[in-house]
Amino acid sequence: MSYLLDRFIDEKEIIICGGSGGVGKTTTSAAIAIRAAQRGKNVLVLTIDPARRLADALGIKIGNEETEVPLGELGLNAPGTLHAMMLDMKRSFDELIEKISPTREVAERIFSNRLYQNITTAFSGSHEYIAMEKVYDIHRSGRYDLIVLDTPPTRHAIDFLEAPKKMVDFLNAGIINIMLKLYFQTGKIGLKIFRGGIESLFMLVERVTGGEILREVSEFFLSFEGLYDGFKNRSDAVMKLLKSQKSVFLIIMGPQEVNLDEAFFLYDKISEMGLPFGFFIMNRVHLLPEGFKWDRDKKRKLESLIEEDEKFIFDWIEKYISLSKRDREVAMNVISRTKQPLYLVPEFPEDVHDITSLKNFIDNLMSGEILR
Amino acid sequence: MQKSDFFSKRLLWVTGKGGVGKTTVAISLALLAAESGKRVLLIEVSPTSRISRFLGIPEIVYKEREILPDIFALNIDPRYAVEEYMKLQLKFRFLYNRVLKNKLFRIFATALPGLDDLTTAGKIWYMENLKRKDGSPLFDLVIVDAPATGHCFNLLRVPRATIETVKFGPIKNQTQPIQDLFTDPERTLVNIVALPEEMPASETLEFAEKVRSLSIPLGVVFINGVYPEVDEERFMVLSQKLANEGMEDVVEILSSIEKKGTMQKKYVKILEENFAPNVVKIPFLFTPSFTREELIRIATIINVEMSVG
Ligand SMILES: Nc1ncnc2c1ncn2[C@@H]1O[C@H](COP(=O)(O)OP(=O)(O)OP(=O)(O)O)[C@@H](O)[C@H]1O
Ligand SMILES: Nc1ncnc2c1ncn2[C@@H]1O[C@H](COP(=O)(O)OP(=O)(O)OP(=O)(O)O)[C@@H](O)[C@H]1O
Ligand SMILES: [Mg+2]
Ligand SMILES: [Mg+2]
Repeated sequence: MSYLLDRFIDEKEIIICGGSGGVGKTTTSAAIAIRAAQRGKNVLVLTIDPARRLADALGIKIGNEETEVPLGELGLNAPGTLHAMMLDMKRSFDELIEKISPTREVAERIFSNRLYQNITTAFSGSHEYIAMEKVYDIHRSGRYDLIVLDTPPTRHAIDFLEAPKKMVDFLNAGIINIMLKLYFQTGKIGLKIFRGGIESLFMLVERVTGGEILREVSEFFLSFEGLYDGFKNRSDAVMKLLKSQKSVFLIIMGPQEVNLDEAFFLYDKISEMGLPFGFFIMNRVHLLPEGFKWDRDKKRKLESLIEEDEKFIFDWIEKYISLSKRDREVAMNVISRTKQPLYLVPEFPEDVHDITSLKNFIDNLMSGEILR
Repeated sequence: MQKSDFFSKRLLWVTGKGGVGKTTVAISLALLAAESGKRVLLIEVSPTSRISRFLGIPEIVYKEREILPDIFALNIDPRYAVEEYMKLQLKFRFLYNRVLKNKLFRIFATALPGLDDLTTAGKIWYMENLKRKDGSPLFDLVIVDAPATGHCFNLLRVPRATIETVKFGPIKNQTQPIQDLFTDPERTLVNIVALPEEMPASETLEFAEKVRSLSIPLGVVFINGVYPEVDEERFMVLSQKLANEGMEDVVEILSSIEKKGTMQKKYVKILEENFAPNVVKIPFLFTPSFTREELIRIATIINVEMSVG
């Protein structure tokens, strides 16, 4: 039994679940939120791309709506409340622009820029950026005791940590715009140091695309000129909140060796950036029944009980044992390298798709073994 | 799909949700193709080189090299792809250095929508299109260990999107052959790896629909990690018998495997209904580590499945 998670639920205001693609971030986030509601918290789980079956089961709607999950109706008695929200990237971006634009016209001009459309959806890191931004916003509203943030499936689990800085750097590229303006006005760039390089780049882009793109880039940065400070301030505030003791990061990982590198990489980055770390959750572990022994007596007895064509079960058991050994080795590897606690969650026969199975997930996490 | 049809193509994409076994299947396909005498190029589109880790070989880089007999490999980092493209466009080396060494260039490249994806797609086409002196293709087959479905879709779509946006000029002319290659059923197949679970299965159906909407030919759906199938009734009888003899712990292990297999059946069926006969089932290998040996085993299984039809 371990109460580390409960302590975080009680003391923290933001719990962030990170990890590589498909390891169980969304599942874990939802399960932790349920635990929090059971402990009397008013909790919001901000999910990204939940499995449809899970979203349906919890009644989560697409589009930035904070929907209350009717825990009672779903057969779970909890003194707290659970809200769930599925992040709509585009809508969140639009809302942010509206918030920091001085006038409606400025916002409209940005919305109509083709580059803006693209950046909100295709710029690597924009999803992560807006997720952080949304957390900050909701946190400030004070509507909830706790926000559990599920992070997006990124190619690199680390992306979401670097997103705010990347985004701000990108928008700070207004300098390009100054040069673009010069380029359009005079056909060449006045600044001596940039002559040659940038100028020939612009010429090149113009030659291959016909100049249209350049004009759009220019317009985009022009529209953003007055908004840069707003972006920068908010992004700084987000980082400050994440670094404070109000937040805690958890890393979810699978038990295969290939998961180690990425988990360590993410862990190192979290430490390096001075973000508070909680623990690892190793999900989908192959657990052996308590006190399981596979000795000669056991094998002999089993052999006497089964038919010739049922011998395959020997093979199953032995393979399962070796998998469970592997899982434990990988887990021990994490602990000895990081000296951080690690929770084990077993692989369930069925995917985790409703309140009952989420409850089962969190109960297993809570009562399961914790290694340190 | 018959093996001969499958391997007669020029460009095989392997995509799917994160962690489903794309790299595993891509390497296995390369092993199979090389064994049948083809000179294969395996292209990895990933910020971290997984292929090298699987095979226990040095990191795979932007420049191709032979990693196994008749299997060449390279990793496309879009930054290099953009650089290489710009280099091809800029006539003078000194200009190229001045442009690309510029810090602002990277930011600018980010601002150009889809430039990363376009140059990555361009690099794939370029490698497929490489010729020997006598005009025959340098590689008999190109296999792409593609990113997960979301990003992969952007790669597949970018030639068409570019052509629609720029309409004319050099970029359009350069992009047309890429688009022609991607949409040609004689040359290209997009293959999907799926796990027999709810989300991967439903995502596979959605992704297949999106690929079709681009007029890009779909190939095989690889159902990966299929658990062994057992007769449910007989299993119940056996479990009961073992439990009566006090072997509950053995039953617990066995039933965790059996239940998973039973759960998977539904999703295997959905995938088969939608994609048969272009479905290949790959069993879950209960092995603690995943090395060359396991990859060869999977290659052998794929070979058998595709030879039967
Ligand atoms: N312990 C478990 N046993 C069985 N199935 C599980 C377990 N944990 C998660 N799953 C299932 O695995 C699938 C992936 O989980 P989930 O969606 O939580 O991962 P994710 O990390 O959020 O993925 P993505 O990176 O794609 O967002 C889901 O179908 C979920 O039900
Ligand atoms: N048939 C199988 N049986 C057992 N384990 C498997 C099987 N196929 C893949 N795996 C396991 O799944 C892990 C992930 O596989 P792989 O790296 O090929 O997935 P991927 O889709 O390429 O992942 P990514 O999205 O991270 O690129 C492998 O390390 C391997 O341990
Ligand atoms: Mg998720
Ligand atoms: Mg891979």
